[in-house]
Amino acid sequence: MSDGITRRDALGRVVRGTVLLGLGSTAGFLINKAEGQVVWQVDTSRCVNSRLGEAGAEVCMLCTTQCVVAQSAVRAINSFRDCGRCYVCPAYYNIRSAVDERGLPSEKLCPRDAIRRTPIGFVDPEDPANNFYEYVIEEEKCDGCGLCVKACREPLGLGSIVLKVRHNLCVDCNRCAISIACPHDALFQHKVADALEPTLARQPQP
Amino acid sequence: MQTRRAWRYVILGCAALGSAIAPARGDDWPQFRGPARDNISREAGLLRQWPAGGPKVLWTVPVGQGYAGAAILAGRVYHNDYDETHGEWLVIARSLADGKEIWRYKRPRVIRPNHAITRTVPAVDGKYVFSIDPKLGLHCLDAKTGKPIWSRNLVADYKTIIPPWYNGQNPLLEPDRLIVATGGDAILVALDKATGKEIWRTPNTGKLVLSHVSVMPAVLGGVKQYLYGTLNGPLGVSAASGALLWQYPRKFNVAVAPSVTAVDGEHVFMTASYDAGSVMLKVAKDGTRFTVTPVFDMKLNEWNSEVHTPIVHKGRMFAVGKKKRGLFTCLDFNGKEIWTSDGKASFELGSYLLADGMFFVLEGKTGVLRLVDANAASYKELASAPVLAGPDVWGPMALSDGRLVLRDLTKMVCLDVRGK
Repeated sequence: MSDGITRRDALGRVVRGTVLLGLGSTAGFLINKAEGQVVWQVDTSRCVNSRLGEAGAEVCMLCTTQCVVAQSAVRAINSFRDCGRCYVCPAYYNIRSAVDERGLPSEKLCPRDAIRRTPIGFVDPEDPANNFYEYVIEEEKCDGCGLCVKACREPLGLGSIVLKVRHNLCVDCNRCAISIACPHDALFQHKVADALEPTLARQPQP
Repeated sequence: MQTRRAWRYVILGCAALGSAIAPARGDDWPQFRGPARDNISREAGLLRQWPAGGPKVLWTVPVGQGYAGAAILAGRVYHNDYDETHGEWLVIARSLADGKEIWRYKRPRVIRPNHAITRTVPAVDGKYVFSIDPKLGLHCLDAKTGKPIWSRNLVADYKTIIPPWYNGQNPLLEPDRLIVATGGDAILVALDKATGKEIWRTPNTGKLVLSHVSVMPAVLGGVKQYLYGTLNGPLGVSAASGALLWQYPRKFNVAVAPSVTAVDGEHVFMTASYDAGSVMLKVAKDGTRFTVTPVFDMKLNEWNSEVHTPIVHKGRMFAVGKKKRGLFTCLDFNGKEIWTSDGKASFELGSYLLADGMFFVLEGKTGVLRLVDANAASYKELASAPVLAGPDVWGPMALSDGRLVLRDLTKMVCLDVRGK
């Protein structure tokens, strides 16, 4: 190695090149993912559980039963902006169960007890039925069964609870098993860049 | 003899014709659902067609957010109200002619809006005004001056709870007493109008929870009684003693607002929303006791009403149902839909009133008032006009002396519907 390049230098160059190549590939992948990758999402205007005017339909649990993720990547979320914060929430309580002396149903609706009810704002102990309550869905417990979504509709609910694909849980199947099973074509793909857009429904295709 | 009979027919015919074309005569509307609590005015000679733009607006006044309708007696309008700026419960008397305020009673009361604030109608008998505020304070006032005479706190007196969305009950005025539901220690109580002292109470052994239902008078099996409904179903109480005469266990959900109605001398109808449906019962007297048999029980997706109580007219029930954003519907006593306003109008949670063979029906969202023939074989509209802007045109209407008083969330108006 009389030209000054030692074996050690050569090995170092290879390592550095490999690292740079890896970083470049990763950056390229991330850029590509951010710009062009699509993810699955629920079109709430098509989901039979959240579609208003669909009274009488049985709750659809395909998001729970069809997802390849063990506890389904679809979970319920409650939009506080739209929630009525009611004393008797039809998504929290089974409103058909017997009531106690406070007028509260005796049973909860969620089979996994995944909704937390907390009084908020000024709490008047002499008028508990007109206090306001925050309903938080504990995502780690929820399996996307849709019972609360179905209950949070007219005439009592305001439609604030909907089903959403949680992208940190979704494994991005090329053909989503739920989308194949959904009779209402409520699963659709959209760009990652659009994932934070407030619109819940799919955009019309050009 | 033949001639005399013929003259009799001529006179009767002229009288009938005269009553048909006579201008409206005064008929008070002293409480929720009018003098007989049936939501029917006995006035005649009302406009059957309206001029372009609708009936003449006599006056408009701003009101606190809510659904509290008016009572009308002897040319005065009485209504409940709330002043959010000062946190005061109000009962106001106005002139029916021009809407000008005559007196106002105010009492500090902290009430947060929860689907608005006001939702009840006072009861007036010329001497007293009775008003139940959102937190179950019962106020008796001097009808002439608005000065307080007595008051009771139903929460403290009966250990009851304020219903979600506040009190929705309108007190029932009887000639010698006031009837109210309390929950807690009693189901119903009869109170002396002059003192507020209890005449009788119906013990609440079943721990029934107060609902938004207003007590309704009825005669079933020849016995005068008061009908009431809770989340556990309808019941009847002896008007004489307050004893519980009958009770029918039937589950209703979340809240019951429409009042329990006797459609004839032996049938009782109860309806509500929130997946509860409606039920018709046959209530018959069997010796000293009453027997209750269901005639039909309509579940979800069949007919029901969320807020207002059906009007019984000529062997039919008329009401705005929940289907298709509120169809005005004619039902027979077997629950069969005779006709609806499907394809012509939807009324959401709007109120309705019957007078002079016509239904005045409000669109709960838009404030359009529709005049519907009460005797037609199908939905037949006689006139319509946008009379309120909305939103939430849900308050009950009141009619007296040809003046129709109605409201949306924040405004009360008086329309002149007298025939010329």
